[in-house]
Amino acid sequence: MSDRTALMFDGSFDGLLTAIFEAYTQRPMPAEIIEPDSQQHLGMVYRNVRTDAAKAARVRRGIRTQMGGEAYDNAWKAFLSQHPERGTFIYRYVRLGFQIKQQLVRSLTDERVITVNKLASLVAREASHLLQFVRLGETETGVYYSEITPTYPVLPLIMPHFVHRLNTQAFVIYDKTHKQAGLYNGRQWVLTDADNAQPPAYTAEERQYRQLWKTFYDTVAITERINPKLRQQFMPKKYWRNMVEMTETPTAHPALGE
Amino acid sequence: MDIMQKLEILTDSAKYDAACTSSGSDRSPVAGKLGGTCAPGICHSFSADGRCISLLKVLQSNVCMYDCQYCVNRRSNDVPRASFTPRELADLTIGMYRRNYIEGLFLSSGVSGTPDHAMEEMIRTIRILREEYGFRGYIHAKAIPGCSPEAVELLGRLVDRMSVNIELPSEQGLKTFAPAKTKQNILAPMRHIRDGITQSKEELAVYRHVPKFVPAGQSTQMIVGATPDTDRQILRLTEGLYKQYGLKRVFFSAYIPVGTHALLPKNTPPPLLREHRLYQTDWLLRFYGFSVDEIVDEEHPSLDPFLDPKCAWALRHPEYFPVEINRADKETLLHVPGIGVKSALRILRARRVGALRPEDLKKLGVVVKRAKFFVTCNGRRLPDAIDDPVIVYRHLAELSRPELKKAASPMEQLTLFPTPNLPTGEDVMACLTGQL
Ligand code: SF4
Repeated sequence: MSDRTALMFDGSFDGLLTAIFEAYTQRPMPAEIIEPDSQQHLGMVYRNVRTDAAKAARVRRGIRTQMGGEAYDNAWKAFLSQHPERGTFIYRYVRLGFQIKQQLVRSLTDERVITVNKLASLVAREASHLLQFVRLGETETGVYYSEITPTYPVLPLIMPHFVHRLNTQAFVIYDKTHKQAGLYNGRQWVLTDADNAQPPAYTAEERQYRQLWKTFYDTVAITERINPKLRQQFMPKKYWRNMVEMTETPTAHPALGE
Repeated sequence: MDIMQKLEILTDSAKYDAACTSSGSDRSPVAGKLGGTCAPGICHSFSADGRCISLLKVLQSNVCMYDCQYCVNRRSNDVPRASFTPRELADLTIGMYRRNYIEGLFLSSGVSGTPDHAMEEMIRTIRILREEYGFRGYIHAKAIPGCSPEAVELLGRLVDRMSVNIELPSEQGLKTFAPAKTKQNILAPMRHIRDGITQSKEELAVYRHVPKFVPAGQSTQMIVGATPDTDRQILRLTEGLYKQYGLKRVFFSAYIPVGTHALLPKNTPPPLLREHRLYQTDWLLRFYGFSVDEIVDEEHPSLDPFLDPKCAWALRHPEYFPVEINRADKETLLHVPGIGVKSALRILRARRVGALRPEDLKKLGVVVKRAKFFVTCNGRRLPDAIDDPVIVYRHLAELSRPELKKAASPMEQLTLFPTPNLPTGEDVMACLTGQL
């Protein structure tokens, strides 16, 4: 099997879509699509693919029109999982899709579909956790700031939600794990690479709000029902380090005489 | 008194209310205005008791003229009292919303003065939020029993959800513990809200821009375990509220012994398992097409503590099974233990592509450990499906209460629920055939 070929893309989603385009021009079609960091296999011939926006756009449109928006969404989310074999997984998924079209998203017992759906749902779960647990703080410049440390680079999935919410309020969400920042100036948002975002100075009011929130959080729990396991099940520990209520030290409780 | 102390007092007074959901409203953003809502709701935190925190849940005031025995805020109880000014509370809500702490506000109040006065203060707070700040986030407000229809009308146009708490599931309970409240003055505002919602839907069909009335619907809450009412009474009332009052949600709240009245339980742990079983049943009513009479009847007025209500129902109805995965309709699939709403939809979707085999069920998210006793795939039973109802019962009981497996060691008991001994085969048979 020394004549098996594989394509190598540059690690971007457009790169992967371009590689899928190229795959269809080859006979026989390549077995894998990998990226520079992936494990390479003996006896496989690798060929680099140069990312081409026009080709990527054609594949993107093809997926959307032939397999539906849900299939495209799943592929995109699975891509964000950064799984070392994501290229090949998505390639196999899309190939199946070009054969069976709209049946793709219904083929819930096919391994190719299961694999992509699993990765996509890991990413989707992280994104929805962040909609819950992101905490913003008011800085001296008037811009609200938040730091997150997610497993997957989900900023592109969560930014639209906060933009809609906060509307004219400018904010920055910094993903420390992936060194990416989502910036919103009150009108438009962009994603940029940011090596070292310095958290700006917080206002005095911000410090008071953190205390108020901590007080509310501690008071609203019912002592007779305390259940740390249940809490942790709904609010995984990995998010606590960026959450006000889990990091602030409680103030004294003068009002209730505790 | 500073804002921190007020917040502490008025949170402590509000915390026993179970409702904290922000669901049922979907408001898209409007340029220049703060906030929005999303239909499934968002939980922003979970307190140390594992309950969801979605909204800033506080009272406007915990000063109360009434003396409901089951309530911490009753007039005769010696607790610190406080009131937020509308401005203070509106500002606090906005500040917390901007920081993504909350989806919005859940506002209630003690009867500070007259019921209408309490309502007016709440309305003033919400007006500042909606009209001054243009706030489009979620607001849930409680209507105070005994308030005027005009106040309900006014509040209903400003909020997403409204609730009137029934609190005690029977009229007798109200008479004993909350003599100032009557069934009538609880049901009257509920009816008013229901009619307002219906009317608002009709208006909207004609004029597009009238403000919606209580768009996320109304809810209520009942305290469980303060009175001797059975699960069946509670559930029949619940079903009636869904059907006749069009309620969106009924919440159950395990009674925490805060009262001193001679007839109220004291020093008892809150009946959390019972509350849990009621919620499971409520879920079956709302999403699974079950009716209360299928689940509890005169002979079995209480939910089985050992089994979740769907398993208990399934064991009592062998004539319904096995269900054929490749042909059953959605409602039938939903009656099978181990098949939930999501996995039922996946089954319906996947079988359009090809017949499903036993080994496919796991891939579709079916809990095979439970479902295997109740289904076939193209006529084939699943591996190690057993028919003996006693063995199946014990099996399912262990799955729903894993601590039963280790009942041998007393230290292993879950702290949450007291662990009764696992019933014997005879108990099970008696229970299944309705002799217990
Ligand atoms: S009226 Fe409401 S706040 Fe007042 S005592 Fe009764 S339940 Fe408590």
